[in-house]
Amino acid sequence: MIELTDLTKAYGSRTVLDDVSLRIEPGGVTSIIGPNGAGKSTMLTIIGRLLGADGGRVTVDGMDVADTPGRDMARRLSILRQENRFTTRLTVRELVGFGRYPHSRGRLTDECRARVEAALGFLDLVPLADRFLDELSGGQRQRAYVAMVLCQDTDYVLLDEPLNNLDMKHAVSMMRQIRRAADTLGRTVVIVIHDINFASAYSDRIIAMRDGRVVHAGTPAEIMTPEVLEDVFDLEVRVEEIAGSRIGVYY
Amino acid sequence: MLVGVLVWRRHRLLDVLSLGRDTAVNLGVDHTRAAVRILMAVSLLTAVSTALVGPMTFFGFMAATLAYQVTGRHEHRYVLPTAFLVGLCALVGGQFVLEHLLGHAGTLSVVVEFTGGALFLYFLLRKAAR
Ligand SMILES: Nc1ncnc2c1ncn2[C@@H]1O[C@H](COP(=O)(O)OP(=O)(O)OP(=O)(O)O)[C@@H](O)[C@H]1O
Ligand SMILES: [Mg+2]
Repeated sequence: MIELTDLTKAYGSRTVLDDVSLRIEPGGVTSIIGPNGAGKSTMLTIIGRLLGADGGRVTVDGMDVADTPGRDMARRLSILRQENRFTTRLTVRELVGFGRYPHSRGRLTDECRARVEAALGFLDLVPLADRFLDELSGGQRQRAYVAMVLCQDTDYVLLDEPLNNLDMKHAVSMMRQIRRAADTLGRTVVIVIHDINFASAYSDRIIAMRDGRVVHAGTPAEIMTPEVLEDVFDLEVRVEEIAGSRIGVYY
Repeated sequence: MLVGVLVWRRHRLLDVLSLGRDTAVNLGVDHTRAAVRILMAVSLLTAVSTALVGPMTFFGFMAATLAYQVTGRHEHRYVLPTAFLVGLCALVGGQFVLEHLLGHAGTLSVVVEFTGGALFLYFLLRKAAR
């Protein structure tokens, strides 16, 4: 379980996380939605220990992320940020192989290699495996990074906007892989996502944020209502039931 | 020498660090500690080599750049020993040429500084042009 207690974060005088307390139960897919600047990425990067909080604490299975040894944490929880810069010339397969670092310290075993190949397959990267990262499109690179964190083989996987840059087909296939990771591999996946309809169709729980606070949390059926969505996004949204999912119409 | 070996044994860590801070932390690297250690090793190596052969500003840059070019790789497994060999060849070879072929016509450090500096400018301009 991921547990946030009274988490606060400010940049200068601007509070971007305002006393957030939250529990994310193990298993399933949790989506975090909310307008730009709501604090979604800030919250996710603090949970993923890439950023320190000003107050409060985050525990994962009872371990405080701020003072658990890095390597132990890295075998339990992985995080992918919204943007990733890189400076070296790496192939896709090499990048994905780095996901095994917490387990193998850089010496890939046969099992590691098998997992790397499997992750490449899941994200449709086999034809690109030997290409260099700087020779890929944004969406192809995004898939390579997701393959890396999946390869890390952690109970908890945090992804900040995994659908960034993806076309319709690859967006659907990404969400299916996320579902598969939760359903058949038993992972707990937390994603930040802007498309409320993907969130509705593929997640078990939705957390809605606005102005540094969690304003709503619940099942897709509870969150996907015109009232809640208007409260979160300050926008009129019609909600229709289509093919078993609640779909928001907001063009 | 000892420091060199210590750095060499950490080449996989160096590879991970080159992915950037966030990815390195995600992969379980204690980034602050690693950065401090590397800085310490670098200062130690610089201090020792400066004490032995005098200051050479562009020499390290030259060795590292040529090593990247020669190997065409980024992994420190290949880059570190190549840089070491390039540096060795440049110094010993340069000293040999100066002493035996040119009859002590100049000092090595001047030549090294000149070529290293030229290389530095070349890469700077090429980056700027892109
Ligand atoms: N390094 C920083 N320095 C100062 N302010 C920052 C910094 N990073 C984020 N902020 C501010 O914190 C607030 C929350 O940012 P955050 O990135 O968490 O938003 P978000 O919900 O992820 O938005 P988006 O949907 O655009 O990704 C924003 O107002 C942003 O301007
Ligand atoms: Mg964000």
